[in-house]
Amino acid sequence: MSQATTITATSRSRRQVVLRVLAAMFGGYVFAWGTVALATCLLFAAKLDFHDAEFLGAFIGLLAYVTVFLWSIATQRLLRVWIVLLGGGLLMAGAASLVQSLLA
Amino acid sequence: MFNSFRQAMAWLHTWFGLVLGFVLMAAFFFGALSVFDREIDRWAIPATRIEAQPMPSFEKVLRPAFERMQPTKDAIDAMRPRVNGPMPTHFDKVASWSAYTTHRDPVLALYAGYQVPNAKDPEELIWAYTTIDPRDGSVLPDDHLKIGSGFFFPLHYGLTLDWKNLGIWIVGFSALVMLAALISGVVMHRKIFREFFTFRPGKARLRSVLDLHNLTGVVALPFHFFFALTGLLIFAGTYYFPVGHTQLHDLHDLHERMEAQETGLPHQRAGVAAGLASVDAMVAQAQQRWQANDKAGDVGFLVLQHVGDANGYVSVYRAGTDRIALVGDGIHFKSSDGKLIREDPAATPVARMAEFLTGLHLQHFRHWLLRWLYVFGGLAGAVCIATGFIFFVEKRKRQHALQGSQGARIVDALAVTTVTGMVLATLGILIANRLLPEALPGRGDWERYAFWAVWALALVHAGMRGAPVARGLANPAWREQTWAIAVMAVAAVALNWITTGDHLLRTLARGYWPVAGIDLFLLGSACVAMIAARKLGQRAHAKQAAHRENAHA
Amino acid sequence: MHESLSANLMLAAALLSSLAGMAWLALSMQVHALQVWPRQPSPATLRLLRILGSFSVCVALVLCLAVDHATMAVLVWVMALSAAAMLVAFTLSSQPQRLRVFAPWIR
Repeated sequence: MSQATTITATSRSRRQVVLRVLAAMFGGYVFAWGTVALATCLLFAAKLDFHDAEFLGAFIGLLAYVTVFLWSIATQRLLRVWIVLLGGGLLMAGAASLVQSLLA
Repeated sequence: MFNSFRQAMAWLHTWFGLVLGFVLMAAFFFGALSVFDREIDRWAIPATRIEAQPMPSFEKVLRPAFERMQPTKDAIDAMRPRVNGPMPTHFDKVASWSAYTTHRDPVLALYAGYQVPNAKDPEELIWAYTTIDPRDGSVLPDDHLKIGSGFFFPLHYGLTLDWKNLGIWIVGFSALVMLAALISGVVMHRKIFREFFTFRPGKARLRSVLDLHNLTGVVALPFHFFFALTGLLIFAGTYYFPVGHTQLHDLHDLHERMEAQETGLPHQRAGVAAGLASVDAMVAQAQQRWQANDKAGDVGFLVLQHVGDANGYVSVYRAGTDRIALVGDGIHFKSSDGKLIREDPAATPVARMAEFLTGLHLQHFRHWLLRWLYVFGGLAGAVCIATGFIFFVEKRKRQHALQGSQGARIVDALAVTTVTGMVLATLGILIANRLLPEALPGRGDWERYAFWAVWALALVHAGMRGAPVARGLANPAWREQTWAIAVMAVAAVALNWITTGDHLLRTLARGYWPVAGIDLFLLGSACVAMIAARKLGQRAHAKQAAHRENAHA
Repeated sequence: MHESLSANLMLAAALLSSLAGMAWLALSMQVHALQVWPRQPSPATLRLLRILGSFSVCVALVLCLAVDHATMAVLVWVMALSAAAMLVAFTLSSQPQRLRVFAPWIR
């Protein structure tokens, strides 16, 4: 099995780890919510039954959550993680509300 | 943060696996037990040791039972903050009456939802719940805890931590971590195909533990992945991403209005009182229609909406005993005159996929082989996580001993608690169930206290006996708790015999598998525990002998 | 699923087929063949074992489909293969020579 890089116990490194974990967990959740909301809206707009759209939206959102979770830990630049997750999530949620206002 | 993707995945797998592994153990172990939840219920409540019953007659059994139901004082108190004004003494505007049964249910759970006058949310409902014997409608006392479906099952998806659904969130996050751990595990395991069948118990401890961890993880990988994923999907719409109830509420309402128009099933009450035609006749008609479509079956789910109102309707669903979907083929009738409103059309492809995915997790189908294979999968998952803990400790304990760190000792004590301690708590509640007086008020609460108390004791024991781990050696608590498991498992079977007279020879002769199966499983577990405890004992003696020789040499 | 005798027999056959399939697939791997037999079987023999294994796994699926609705049959099959693989792995680690019964023509 490969050895994980030793994280030196400086407070800056520890803070980096904490921020990255928070990004994966909470940033990831925001991104997932946005994905679920947008996917559900678009599928409903595409004439899928609402409950079917909800289910598929949740399915896509969960897979997206797992994906960005792994990516958040693996990728190099922490700032990029926060921007993509929060920004992407909020953008998608915003788009979902827009689609909703056009439909309902 | 890391030099390579693989290293990042290794870090993720190790640390998230370690922290959430404790939760996942509970989810997998109690999930495995939940496969036979209704059988465990019967073991725990001897009065229900009857044959499984079909949905009974509405007129003779269900209606009188429903009409007697009212929300409990606790439910009313919980609703108070959500109401502007006085709470009624009697709730009489029934939003829905429902009963759900499967081929494994000896008793029937009834649900009644009532409108709440003056509620802040006009769609607010207050619920009442009761369990009856379907043969005569007699009510089961509230505080007879259904240890399987009412305790182990909610424990596996929510840790029974109900405050703000915190437990459901914790288990949900751990399920997400499970998915991440499976994927990262595959990334880390370079020889996944070459070592598919590899288990080398003879090799050094670290290698053989890792082999077992890999084996139990990879061989049942589809099971682990799908159970984590479908578990998340089942609660996604209600708890984790309740998009339809919040951000997209407008779309949800639009859909409800459209659906009510399309299907002819009214969404709201009309406000005009109306009577109830013969529901039994409606059920009979539904069964005839299923038979005509080559789908003869039992009633799985019966719902009456807007009871007592002109807009009321009755929905009869077919039990999915012979397929993965839970229920299906709904047929709906107008309550006041029994006329057919609608026969549900075949499900859409997406709905079929949703039914398949949720049905495969919730398992209301009739297939004993598959059920036991599910238990195997769940236990394999538990072993995977347990060996993960053991690997973590084994890898670090010598190094921690040299550094004077307590880290390995702490993780080891938590591991003992989560592995053998959890099994002891399970046996503890079964034993308490047999020992507590039948008529004890709040009996169910005392059984739950026994469960948590035994688990807490296991934690204290594991912590106190764990000093050797800080010196790089094994914790004797593993062996001691394993012996305790063997003793308590046998005690549970003996107590069943003594307190109910249903010993194995009798239950096997009668072919009463729900209880015989539990007793046999307990005895089998006792055997496994005994073998394991003796192996651990032999290892400890061998170590001691080696130490003595070294001291003499 | 009907709990008829024929259904149970076919499920039993499916389990056996899964076990044989997993055993043959394991035996087709050099490292495990060496655990079971004193001499390394020829590459042609290993290839035959692999084909037998794959075939047996497919037969197990067909048997499962004959008993149950497709949605259930697939689950039974996947889980049966998992259990079979686990059993084969434990046999290889404790009493590997027992697996000789699956290929008695090999010495």
